[in-house]
Amino acid sequence: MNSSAILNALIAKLGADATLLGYMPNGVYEDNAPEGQGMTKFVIVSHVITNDVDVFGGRAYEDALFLVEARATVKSGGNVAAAAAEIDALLDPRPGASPSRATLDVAGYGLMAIKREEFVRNTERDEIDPTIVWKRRGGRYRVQMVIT
Amino acid sequence: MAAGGIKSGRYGRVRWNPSGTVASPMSLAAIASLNTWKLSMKTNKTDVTCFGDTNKVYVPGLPDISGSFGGFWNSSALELFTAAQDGSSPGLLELTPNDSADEQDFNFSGLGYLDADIDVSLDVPKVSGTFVAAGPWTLAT
Repeated sequence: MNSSAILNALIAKLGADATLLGYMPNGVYEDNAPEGQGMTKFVIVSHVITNDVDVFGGRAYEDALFLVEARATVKSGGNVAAAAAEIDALLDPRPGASPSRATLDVAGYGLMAIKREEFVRNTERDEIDPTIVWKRRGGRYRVQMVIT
Repeated sequence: MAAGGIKSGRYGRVRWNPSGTVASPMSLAAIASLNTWKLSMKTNKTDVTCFGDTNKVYVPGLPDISGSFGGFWNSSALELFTAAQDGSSPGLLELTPNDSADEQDFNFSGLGYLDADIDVSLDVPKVSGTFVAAGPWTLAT
């Protein structure tokens, strides 16, 4: 099993959504976005922890937690609220939405569930250039994948 | 003291034959997605304490065989519920603490009646079951 493929699949899923990229045109990255003056509106996916759950004979499923955030400078006018709502619609659709359940294709795994466990909303000053203020919006998402 | 015989329960196993046929070798299929089992071998004791005894005195009755197991609901493996549905006829149950090549001969087996439960919440659905003996049980070593 390639546990890393789960995070990669999340990035690919979010990065393929035109609506999300409309809000955050710089793309979707793991942990850090590339440096550059134009990098003002992007999505970050970070792995928090994965717990392996066993049955007799081996691992049954992986229970992972990811932090998924839209980040934008205030000056850029990036709409992190709308981006966070789109992330949520992709990863944890409301009942009645179409599609009503998230999908995530990962070789060797089957998706059990994705659900948001915590909403995240922060504003912070850039550590290097304190004149820049970042808005962060998103959530911690639990992703449960059964071994197939 | 030799501790080499202490093994991990990660490779435990529960197998079942619904027909209850006891043959050699036994025809058994693993019940999938389980991660716990427990066997209880208790002998009922009758209190026969009399006047003048300085402590309680008991005499043993018959040993009892019962137990439980649990795991996750797996829609591809319904053996447990099939067995419980057919609860009036006993099957052959085998419980193995560790199925590694040098350990799998150590197991408990015998005829039993199975019951099953499923517990569904917002977490991963869990199944559990209980069993009682329907015939003599053996400890294979």
